[in-house]
Amino acid sequence: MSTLSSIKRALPADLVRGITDLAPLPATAHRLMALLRGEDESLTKISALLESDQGLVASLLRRANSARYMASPARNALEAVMRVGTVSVLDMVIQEHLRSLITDAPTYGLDENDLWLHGAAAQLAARALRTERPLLLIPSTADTAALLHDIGKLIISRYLKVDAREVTAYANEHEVTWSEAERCLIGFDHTLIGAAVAEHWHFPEDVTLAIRHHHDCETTHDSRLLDAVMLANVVAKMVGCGLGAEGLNFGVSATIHERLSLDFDVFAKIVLTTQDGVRELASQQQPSA
Amino acid sequence: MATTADWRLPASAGRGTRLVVGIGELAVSHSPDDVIVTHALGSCIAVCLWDPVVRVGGLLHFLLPEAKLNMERARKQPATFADSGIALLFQTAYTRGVEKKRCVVRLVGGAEVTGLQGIGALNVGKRNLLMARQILWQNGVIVTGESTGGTIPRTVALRASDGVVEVRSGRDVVTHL
Repeated sequence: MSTLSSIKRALPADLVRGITDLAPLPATAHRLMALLRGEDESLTKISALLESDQGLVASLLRRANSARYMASPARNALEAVMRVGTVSVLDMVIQEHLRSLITDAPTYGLDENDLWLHGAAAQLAARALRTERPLLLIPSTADTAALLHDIGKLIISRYLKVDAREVTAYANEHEVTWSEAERCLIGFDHTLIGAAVAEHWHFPEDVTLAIRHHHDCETTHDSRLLDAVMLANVVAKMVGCGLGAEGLNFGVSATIHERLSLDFDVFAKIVLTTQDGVRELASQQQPSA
Repeated sequence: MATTADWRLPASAGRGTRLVVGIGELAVSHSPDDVIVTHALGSCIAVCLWDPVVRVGGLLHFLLPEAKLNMERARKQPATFADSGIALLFQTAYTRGVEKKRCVVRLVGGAEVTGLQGIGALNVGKRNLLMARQILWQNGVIVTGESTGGTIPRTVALRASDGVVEVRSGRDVVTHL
């Protein structure tokens, strides 16, 4: 049974409606995902779809023509997609979509920007990890999963009025993690709701699984994608993005560093690379003079 | 947000300025109405320095323990690391008349992820804290107060007028060092 189907009966009706009514992903995202799954999709057709969103095309061309891609300038969406790759384009489409959805998440002590920036920082961290550990063959969809891993917080904050102080007090009193406190107080946690959203949006199973288990210390899933999302969440918090009321009180598999072959030097490198990316994002967000 | 060129915020010239220090930055103020603030301290450490005679306060928010992790970054943005950052904090403070023997130093931060406690490869908070203590101790600086460890996020404010360090965790929890 699917995650969404299995939890529907246990959730308040408002919350189920919150998940199912969430604005669907743009058609471009689904076409890009189909392409990544190896289905018969045409890059030309996808580029034509992209062309209908001028803001997105402008961002795409900016990225394709940045110093990172040293070549003659991309002149249109098709050339830009070929330059930066379909995964990067998918991430950009999803980022834009998330931006349009995200609001404050007071249940977690996060404002709109904190919540968005946390996902964006985690995405950068996942990318940095893949760069540092290419032999692990971590799927590039880890970046997407990292971006989306806390989407459940958005839904819970929208539809349930839970006070962050109450959850914090429970976690402190019972010496449990924030997610455990969520489960004790409201019956489920943001990872379950996040997985239901991912499923509603028809994300690949491994992305949904990573969102579902990113705080699962005892996970038995042998998934480098899940490991990458767990680590990306840690790194995003370490660079100060989305600490919120939860802070660092969350679960992570104790053997993650072994599975990802990380020593402290490599970990620090990932942290520094992520911080650089977060700065770049922040400077892009600042209004120009 | 600091760039490679402005890793250090300028000392305040006006009255009552709220100087916000980001990760890998520091600020030193000799203006009594200034408050130096840093947000989102998780595993990072804020080193808060105050000289009661000249009433100069300084705050460093560093990310990682050692400059050797990335020498290029340490050159461009020394406040990223404990060793290069603490040295720069004191050097900057000395130019404002601070004397080491009079310094009151407090440490804040160094939290650790619950699920990673005891996992040496990823214990950034503990490494940061040990490094800061070691550097200060080796240089004969006594740490007079700490709000460190645990898993909580912290926001710190240092008042240049009296050197009080206010630590906020969550909306309601406030402690003074």
